[in-house]
Amino acid sequence: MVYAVEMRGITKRFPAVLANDHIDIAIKAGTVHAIIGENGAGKSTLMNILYGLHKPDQGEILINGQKQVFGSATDAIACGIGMVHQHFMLVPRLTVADNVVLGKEPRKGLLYDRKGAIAKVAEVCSRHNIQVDPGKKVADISLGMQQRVEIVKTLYRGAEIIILDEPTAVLTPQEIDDLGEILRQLKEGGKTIIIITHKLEEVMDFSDDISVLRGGKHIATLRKEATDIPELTRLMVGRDVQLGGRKESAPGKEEALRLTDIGYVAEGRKVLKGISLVLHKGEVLGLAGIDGSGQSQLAEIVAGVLTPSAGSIKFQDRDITGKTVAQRKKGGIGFIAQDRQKHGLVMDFSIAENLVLGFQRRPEYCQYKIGVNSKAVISGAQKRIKEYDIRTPGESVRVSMLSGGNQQKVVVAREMGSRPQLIVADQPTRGVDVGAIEAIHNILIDHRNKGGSVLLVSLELDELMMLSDRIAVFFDGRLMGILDSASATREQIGMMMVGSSLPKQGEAAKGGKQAESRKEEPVS
Amino acid sequence: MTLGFFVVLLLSVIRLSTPMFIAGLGNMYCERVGILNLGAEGMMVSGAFAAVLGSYYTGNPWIGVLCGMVGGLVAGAIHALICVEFGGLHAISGLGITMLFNGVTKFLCLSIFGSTFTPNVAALQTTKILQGLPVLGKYLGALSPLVYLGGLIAVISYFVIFRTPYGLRVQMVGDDPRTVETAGIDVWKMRYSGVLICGLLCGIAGAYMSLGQLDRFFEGMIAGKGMLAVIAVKMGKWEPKGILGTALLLGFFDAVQLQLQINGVIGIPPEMLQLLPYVAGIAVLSMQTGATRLSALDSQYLRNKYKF
Ligand SMILES: Nc1ncnc2c1ncn2[C@@H]1O[C@H](COP(=O)(O)OP(=O)(O)OP(=O)(O)O)[C@@H](O)[C@H]1O
Ligand SMILES: [Mg+2]
Repeated sequence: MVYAVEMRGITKRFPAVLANDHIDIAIKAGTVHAIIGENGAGKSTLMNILYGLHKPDQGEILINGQKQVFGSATDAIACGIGMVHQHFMLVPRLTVADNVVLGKEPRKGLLYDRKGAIAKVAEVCSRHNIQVDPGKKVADISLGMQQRVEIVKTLYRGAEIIILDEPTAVLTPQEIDDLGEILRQLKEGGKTIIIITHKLEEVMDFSDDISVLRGGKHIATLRKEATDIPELTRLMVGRDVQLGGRKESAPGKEEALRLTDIGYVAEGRKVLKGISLVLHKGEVLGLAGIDGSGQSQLAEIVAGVLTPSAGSIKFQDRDITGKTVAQRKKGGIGFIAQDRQKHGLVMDFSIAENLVLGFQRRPEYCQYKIGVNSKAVISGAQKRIKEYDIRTPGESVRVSMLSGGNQQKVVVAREMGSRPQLIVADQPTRGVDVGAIEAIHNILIDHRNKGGSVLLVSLELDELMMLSDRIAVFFDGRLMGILDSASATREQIGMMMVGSSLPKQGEAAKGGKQAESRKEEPVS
Repeated sequence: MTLGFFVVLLLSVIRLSTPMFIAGLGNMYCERVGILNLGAEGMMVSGAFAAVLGSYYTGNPWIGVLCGMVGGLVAGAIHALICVEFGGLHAISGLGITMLFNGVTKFLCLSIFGSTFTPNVAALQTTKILQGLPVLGKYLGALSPLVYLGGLIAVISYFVIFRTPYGLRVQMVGDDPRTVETAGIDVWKMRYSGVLICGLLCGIAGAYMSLGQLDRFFEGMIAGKGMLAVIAVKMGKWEPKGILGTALLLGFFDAVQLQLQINGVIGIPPEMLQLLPYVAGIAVLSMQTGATRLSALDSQYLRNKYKF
């Protein structure tokens, strides 16, 4: 049989990292093929090689049985390959149509035919039944639509083989469902799809075949029917994984954080309206809500990044409402920001430097009161790298060179390393592999077991229910209620997330279905 | 104050702003592909001197203009090599080019003509064919043909940037070279083209200053016009219309300054008055809120180095 893609003996070495080590992989035409593996396993690298952006040191690529050598993405595109990258490749200032046609613009004489571009993009969309608005600016559309624009980009160029690198990391459950539908249609239309993802439920949902990479090596390729999530996890991580951590004691009674009547206004819109809640010592409080309900803003207010327009914050019986981020850090509040690249890390700095960021004034890093003791910084970094299992060749590597999941671990390591009393974690496991999710869960629960408090924001209900002692549900900037996670059901939470206040047990199931149509099995 | 005064002022404004907007348009291409160009001044000096040389040796000022374009192009090529190919620091390279060409032209001028200024050469100070026109001919013909060439370049640039496929790519490279590379476009070719077009246009701007306004070259004649062009690009938000407007504004202050000096109206030292356009430039620049920005401006982009 002829494969759509065959990669033989692909090897790629970056300075100090063997990203791909003699990888052999074959992808059948007209199938959806998932590629999974830990953060830094080399998935993106392999796909960038297939797309012509990186040249392999060794190995060969066959497309539809023909040997090909790609000098740049142009060659790969000419071979019918399209790729949707892990981070969006769109220019927000320009319209959807401009972004889609870039590189293959319709012309009218010498000029760029903008109307023709919009018409052509609309035509591609309707042919594949994909909803996008070609005339809109990319800056004005949702992440879900941006994702679809990326797919339309590949289709416009006539791609028969479409690579999607972690397309679902930033999507809401509903958007993920829509994406699944699009993929099914593309497959029916005869396209070959390669998808990278960390969410194993999706793998089981979308794909026909599954290849597992670990440490740059190809471990196995399996048919979906012949495997299950626990086996995949084992192949990926090399051991069993237990998500959710183990809670050892009941939450404490002592108050750690008290929010009174917090309000927040941004651009004239009330983002938060009169939020009051209490977080105890030894407790994880989860903040649930559909994206944009205000829960992230609340986390940022507690961390001190945003200033509330009303209300007060009390931390360990002291009013910290007017305190700066630095003062709060010193006082024992750690913050894992949602967007690690924008707010959590300085991408051009080394791992060691990022690990002391914000703590450089601490006595152990200080030298003669003003300087930074670089020896202490480096030895501290080496310790953290080991402790938090950050996969890197060394502490002097720039953070921008790390894989996404490992970047996240750097943030977690830094914020936890200062031994805070309260940790504010905004989607701490975004884009992170199962092994690392387990590690981060364990870190958070460990912190709780030792009497610390955690304020956790997550879009994944399963994660919230596993980790939290109580769950506060947000809708449109209002606190709909606080549930005990031991007795709460997904339906209850789902219903409150779309705006009905605490439902009675009986009616819960009906409304809950609409709110939470995606069924998920917790990974275990 | 008569109508005549205003016409003279208007012509003066146009004359003085022309080099700024031609060089500004060049810088627009350069910055839009992501390369900061503080070397506009140097490119103009090179163009101005080469233009005079060309006219001196051939007696034909248009060949002089062509030589000026080559002069600017050479300076542009050096900047491109440093910034695009080797990922050098744009600001340093640009300032270096300015210093280099100030030095080189002075050296050549001294060694060829034995003095820091050249003899008079055939120039392009007036447009003969327009002088025959009724009523306006007197005024229109009093401007250099290069002024009209500049206007033409502005119109063409508008179409190039906003209406052609090349322009779309230029707009994107300055925002996000990675996106452009993943779309299968040669980012480096784009960046080279922007810097080289800039060199070419700065060369014309320089030629205008030596052959269109004057008929010779002398040391220090560009006098910061290249730097004002850099400011005009930012103030004009990287758009031909904006750049034209800003250049006219700066030219206006320059003209006022000149008039005040000539008339000796007030007892202010001329050096103070000469500051006027620069002060105006800084004032406008500081009032601007950082609304639009090219996110990849002044950045390095090397082959095979990035993680996608
Ligand atoms: N341009 C580069 N220069 C140096 N090292 C790199 C480069 N690109 C990737 N690496 C390294 O190669 C390894 C594989 O990276 P890759 O991005 O392929 O991982 P991944 O499997 O996609 O991980 P994730 O799931 O986190 O996205 C990592 O250790 C990474 O740090
Ligand atoms: Mg990746």
